Amino acid sequence: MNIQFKKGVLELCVLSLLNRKDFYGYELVDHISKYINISEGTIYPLLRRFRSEGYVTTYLEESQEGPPRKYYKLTDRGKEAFEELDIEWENFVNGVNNILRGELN
Amino acid sequence: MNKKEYLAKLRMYLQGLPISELEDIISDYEEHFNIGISKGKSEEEISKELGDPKEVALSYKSTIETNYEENRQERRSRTNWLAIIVGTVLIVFAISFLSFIRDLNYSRSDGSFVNVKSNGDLVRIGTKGIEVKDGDDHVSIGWDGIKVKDGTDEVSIGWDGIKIKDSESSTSRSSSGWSFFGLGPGDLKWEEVNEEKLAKIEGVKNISISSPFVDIKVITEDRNDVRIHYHGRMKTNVVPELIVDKKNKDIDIKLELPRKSYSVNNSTVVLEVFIPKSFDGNLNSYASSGDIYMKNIVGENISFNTSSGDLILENLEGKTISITTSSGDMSLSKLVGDTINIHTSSGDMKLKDLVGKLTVNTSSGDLNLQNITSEEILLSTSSGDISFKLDDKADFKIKGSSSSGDFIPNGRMKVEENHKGRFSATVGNGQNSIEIKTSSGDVIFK
Repeated sequence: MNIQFKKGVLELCVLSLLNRKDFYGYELVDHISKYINISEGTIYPLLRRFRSEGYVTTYLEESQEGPPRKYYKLTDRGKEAFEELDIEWENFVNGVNNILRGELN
Repeated sequence: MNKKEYLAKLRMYLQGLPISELEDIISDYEEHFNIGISKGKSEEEISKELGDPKEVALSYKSTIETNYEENRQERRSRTNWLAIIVGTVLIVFAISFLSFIRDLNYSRSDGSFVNVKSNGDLVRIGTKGIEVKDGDDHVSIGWDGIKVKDGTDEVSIGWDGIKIKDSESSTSRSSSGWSFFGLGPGDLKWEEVNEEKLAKIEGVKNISISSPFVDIKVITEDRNDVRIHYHGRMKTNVVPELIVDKKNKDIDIKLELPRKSYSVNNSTVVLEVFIPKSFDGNLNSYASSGDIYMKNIVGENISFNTSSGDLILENLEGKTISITTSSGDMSLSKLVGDTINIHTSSGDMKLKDLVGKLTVNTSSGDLNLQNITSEEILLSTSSGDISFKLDDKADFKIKGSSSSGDFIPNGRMKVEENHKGRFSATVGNGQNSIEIKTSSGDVIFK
C-alpha cells in the first residue's frame, strides 16, 4: 500500500474511532492493527499531530489493571475533520468501484 | 530488542526536537510498552510491532515540517479572501471620503455625493456604498456586502457567505472565519433529501421555523396536525438535519448544520411546513440566506427574520406582524394586522393591500406601496426611494421631511408645503396620518 494513501486512511480510521469514544494509545493501536497491517509506531505521531491541530485533547486516567493511561478525546474541530474525510472517503471508494466494476463507455 | 534499548534508540533518533516534545513522545512509548507488558506481551514483540525506531522518529520530524507547510498555505488563501473584501470596502470608503474632504459642498447629509436619477435608473455613490440601478437590474456595493441582481437572478456576497440564485436553484457557500475556499467543488456530492415529520397541534401556541440556506414554505391546509416535508436535491458537503422539537405549547422546527461552513451548489431543497387552518397562535420564521414563502395564515404574532433571504408573504392576518431583514427583498400583499413593522437595511420592498398601523424603517432599500389602509403610517428611509400609490378612497394627512430628496405629489392632493425638504399635503379628508422621513430618497405619490 502506498505510504501517502495509508497515512490518509489511517487518519480517517483513528478519527472515526475517536468519534465513537475516547481511546488510550495502546487501545487504538491494538484495535486498528487487528484489521490492517500497519507499523504501530505510526499511530502515535498521528495522534500528536491531531493534538497540535486541535482535533483531539488528552487527559490522564488511572487504571486498576496497570500504569496510568493517556486518553485521546475528539474535539468539535476534530469531528468536523472526520466528517469531511468520511465524505471524501465515500466519494473515493465509489469512484474506484465505478472504475473497477463500472461500464466502459 | 527490549524496552530499554528501543526507547534509547528512539531518543537518539529524535534528537533535534525541543526537549519537552522529545520527553513527551518518549513517555507515550513508555506507556505503550508498560501497558503491553501488563497485558502479557513480551518486550521483543512490542518492539517488533512498533517498528524501526528510526522510522518512527522520522515520522515525528516530517510531521512537524508538513504542519508548517500546510499552515503557510492555509494562511495564504485566508489572507487573499480577506484582502478582497477589505480592498473592496476600502475602495468604496476611499472614493467617498476623499471627495467628501475635497469638496464639502458636494456632499449631502447622508454622505452621498453622486446622486443621478433618471426614469428608473439611478447611480448613487456615497459613504454607504455604491449603487447602480437600471430597471430591474441592480448592483450594490456596501457595508453589508456586494449584491448583483438581474431580474430573478441574483449573486450576493456578504459577511455570511456567497449565494448565487436563479429562478430554479441556488448555490451557497458560507464559512466561519475566513477560509472560504477550504473545500473545492470536487469535495461536494449530490445529496437527495426527502424527509417527512408530523407534529401534533393540540395545545400548541407557538410554532417556530429556522433554516440556514434552505428556503422555507409555510402553507395552511385542512388538517389537524403539522406536517413537515423537507425535500429536494443539492450538490453539497453538508446536509442540514431536520429537527422537530415539541415541548408543551411550542413546536420548534429547525434545520441544523453540523458545522458553520458549507458549500452548496444547485440546491432545489425546500422546507415545507403544512399548518392546520385552525392554528391561530404565534409563528416565527428565521432564515439566514434562505427565502421564506408564507400564505394564508391567521395568527397572533407573526414574525420573520432573514439576513439575505427574500420574503414573499401573501394573505396574513395577525395582531402584530414584524419583518426584519438585512438585504432580503420582500413582496407583501394582503397583510392585515394591528401593527405591521418592517425593518430592513438594503432590501427592496413591495407592499400591496396592507391594513393596520404600518412602520417601515429602511436604509437604502426602495419602498413601493399600494393601497394601504391605516390610521398611522410611518416611513423612514435614508437613501431608499418611496413610491406610494394612493387609491381614490385614500384619506390622509401627509407630513414629510427630507434632506436632499424630493417630494412629488399626485394631482389629487392638496399640497400645503413643498419647499426645502418640508412637505405637507392632504388627500381626502385627512383623517389618517402618514409621516415620512427621508435623507436623500425621493418620494413619489401616484
